[in-house]
Amino acid sequence: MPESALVAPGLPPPAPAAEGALQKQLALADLVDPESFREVFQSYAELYRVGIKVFDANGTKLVDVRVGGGEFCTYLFQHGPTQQRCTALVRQLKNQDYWATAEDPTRAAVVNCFSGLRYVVQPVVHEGDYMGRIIFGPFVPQEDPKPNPLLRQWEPKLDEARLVELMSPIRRAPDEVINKVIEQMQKVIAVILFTSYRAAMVSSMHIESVTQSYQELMEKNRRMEEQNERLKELDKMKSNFLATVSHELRTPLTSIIGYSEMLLEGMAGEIQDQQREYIQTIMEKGESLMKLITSILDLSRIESGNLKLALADVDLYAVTKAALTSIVPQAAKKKVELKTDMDPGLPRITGDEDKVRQVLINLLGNAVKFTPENGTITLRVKNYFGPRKHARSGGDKTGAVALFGIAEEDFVRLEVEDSGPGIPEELLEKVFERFYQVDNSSTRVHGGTGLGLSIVKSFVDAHKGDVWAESQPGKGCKFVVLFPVVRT
Amino acid sequence: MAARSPTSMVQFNLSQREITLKVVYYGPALSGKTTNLQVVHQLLDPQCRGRLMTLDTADDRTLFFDLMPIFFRTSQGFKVKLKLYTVPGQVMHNSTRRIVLAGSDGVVFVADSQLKEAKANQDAWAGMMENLKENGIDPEQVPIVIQFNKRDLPNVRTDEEMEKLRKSSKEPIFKAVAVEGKGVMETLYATVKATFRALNARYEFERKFGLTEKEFLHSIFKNVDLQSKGINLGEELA
Repeated sequence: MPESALVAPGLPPPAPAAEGALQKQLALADLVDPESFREVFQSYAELYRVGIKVFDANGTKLVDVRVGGGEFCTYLFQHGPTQQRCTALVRQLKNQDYWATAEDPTRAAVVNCFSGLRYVVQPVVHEGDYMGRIIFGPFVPQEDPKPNPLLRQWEPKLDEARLVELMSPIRRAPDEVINKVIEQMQKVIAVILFTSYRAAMVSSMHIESVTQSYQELMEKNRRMEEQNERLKELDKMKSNFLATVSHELRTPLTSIIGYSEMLLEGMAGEIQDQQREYIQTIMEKGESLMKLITSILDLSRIESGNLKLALADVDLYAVTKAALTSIVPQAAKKKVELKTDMDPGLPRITGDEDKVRQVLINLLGNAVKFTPENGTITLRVKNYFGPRKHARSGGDKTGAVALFGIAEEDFVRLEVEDSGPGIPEELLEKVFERFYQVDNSSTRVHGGTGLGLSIVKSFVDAHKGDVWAESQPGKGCKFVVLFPVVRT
Repeated sequence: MAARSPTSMVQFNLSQREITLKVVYYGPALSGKTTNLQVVHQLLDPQCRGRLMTLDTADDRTLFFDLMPIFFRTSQGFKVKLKLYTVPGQVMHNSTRRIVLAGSDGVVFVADSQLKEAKANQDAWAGMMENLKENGIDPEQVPIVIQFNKRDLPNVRTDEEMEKLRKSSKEPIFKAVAVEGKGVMETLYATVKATFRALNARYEFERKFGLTEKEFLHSIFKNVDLQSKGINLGEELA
C-alpha cells in the first residue's frame, strides 16, 4: 500500500526523513539479538517442558523450541481428518492479522487444540505497542488430561490406547501455573526489550550527534578556508602594492641622488663648503632612503612569491671574498677587525649566488653596525654534518617531528660572530621579523631599516637552509646559517 | 508508515490509529529536568506510562536524554502516545539538545530559581530559541511553559518577583521544588493542556479523531493521587 493512502486528506505531508534519530519504530527482530533471545526461551522451554514459539509483529518467526510430545501430533497428522484440523489450527496460530488486530492485542488468549491439548498465545507489548506474540504450548490441561473423545469419531482408525500413550509425555499443567510462567516470562521480555530499546536509542543518538558535530565542523572548516583564502589574497595585494610603490618611489629618488652627485662634482659650477655639506647630506639621506626602498621591494617580492632563485653551483670562496670586499670600508671606518676562518675544500652548494652574497653582506653589515669601535667580527665557513635548529615541518619539535624532522644532514655552515651587546634570549627569534630591532632606540644609534635580517631569513628559507642567532648578552652574538649540500 | 509535519513531531499513523506527541524538558544544567521526569514517573499510573529511560554518565549527569512514554487508548480506539524527553543541560551537549528538541509539540523550560543561575537560565533560553528555529519550529507557535525550580533554596527570586514575572510573561510560569514533587504535575498538566490545544487548533483532533481535551487530560492524569499530594490541577479534573 502506498504511504499516501494511509494519510487522511488535510493532514500534513510527510516530512523529510532526516530528523529521525529518536523516532524510529523498531521491530522485535531489530531490537534483540536473535541468538541470545532464542537461548532464553530455550531454557524456559526446558525448565517447564513446554514448547515456545515467538513471532514478531511482521509474522517473522524468531523462536521455535519444541520439547517432546511430537509423536502425538505426528500420529494425528498421519490421518486425513485430523490432519485437516491440525492444519487449520496451525493456520490460526500463525494468522498474523488476526492476532495483531484483535480487539485488545495486549491480552493473552487460550487456544484449545482439537486433540485436547492447549496453547496460550501471549502478545508481546512494549509501551503500548504490539511487538509480536509468544505461543506457549502444547500442554495438557490439568482439568481434562485425556485425548479428545471426538478424535475417534472423526477418525475411527486412531487407536485409543496409543493416543493415551503418546500423550503421556506431554507436560500436564493447571492454568494458574501456566499463567505464572507466562507472567514471569513477560517480565524477562520487558527487561530485554527495555534494555535493547535503550541501546538502540543510544547508538542512533550517538550517530546522529556525531554526524551533526561533523557537519558543523566541516562547515566551520569551509568558512575558515574561505577566510584564509581572502587573507592570502589581501596579503598578496599588500605585497604588490608595496612593490609598485617602492618602484615608483625609486625613480624620482634616483634623480635626486644623481643631481646631488652632479652638483657635488661641480658640474653646475663652483659650490661653497656649506653648500657642499648640505648637498652631501641630501645625497647620503637619499641613499639610505634608496636602500630602505630597495629592501622593501625585495621583501615584497619575496612575500608575493615572486622571489626566483637563479640556481647554479655557488663557489663559496668567491662569494665570501666579494661580500668581505664590500663590507671592509664600513668596518675600517669603525676600526673593527674582520677575521675569517674557512675550511679548505668546501663543497659547492646549489644556490643563487647573488642571494647568498646578500645574506653574507647583510649579516656582516649587521655585525659591523652593532660592534663597538675596536671590536672584532669573525666569519667562519665550515663543513658541517648535523641537525637543523628548526624542524622543516614547523616549530613543534615533539613526537614524530622530533624523530624525523631534525635528522642530520650535510651543510655548509656560515657563522658571523660579533663582539657587540648581544641579544636577550627571548628575542633571538624575533630579530628575523620585519622592521624589528631589539631596542627601538638602537635604530637611531645604528640606523638601518630593520629589514636586513628578515631578508636573510627569506633568502635562506628559499635555499631550504636554516638560520638562527645565538647570543650571550654582553658578549656579542653569533648568526648561524646552514646551506644544504646535496652530495651526488 | 507515519506522516508528520515538518515543524512538529505529532505523528499520525492512521492504519494503526495512532497519534504520537512529544514534549521536551529543556533548561540549564542541573536545573532539575530529570528530577521532574522522575516525579512524573512516580506519580503517574503505571498502566499508562512506560519505564523511565535514562541515558546518563556515571556521575548522574544526563548524557543524551531521558525518555518516558505515556500511552493510552481513546474511547474512539485511537492509541495516543505522549513522549516526555529531557535534554542534557551541560553546555557541551548542544548538538544533542538540538536533536532531542527536533519535532517538539510542547516545551517545558525548567529554570533554576537561584539568583546566581540567572545567566545560565538566560543562556539556556537563548540556546533553546535558536535550536527551535534550527529545527524549523516557530517559538511563537510551540507551547512553552516555564517552571522555576528549586524554590526551597536560599538566594532565589522572591515570590513578589515571581508574581511580577508571571504577569508580564507570555508563557505560563510555575514554581516548583521538584525534589519534593512540588509543582511538577502542575507544570506537566499545563504543558500537556497547552500542547493539546495548539495541536487541536491545527489538526482538529476533536473533529477528526473524536478526541476531546477533557478525555486527553483525563486519560493521562486520571489515576494520579492528587489529593494526598496536595496537587491542584484546576477545575477540569475535579
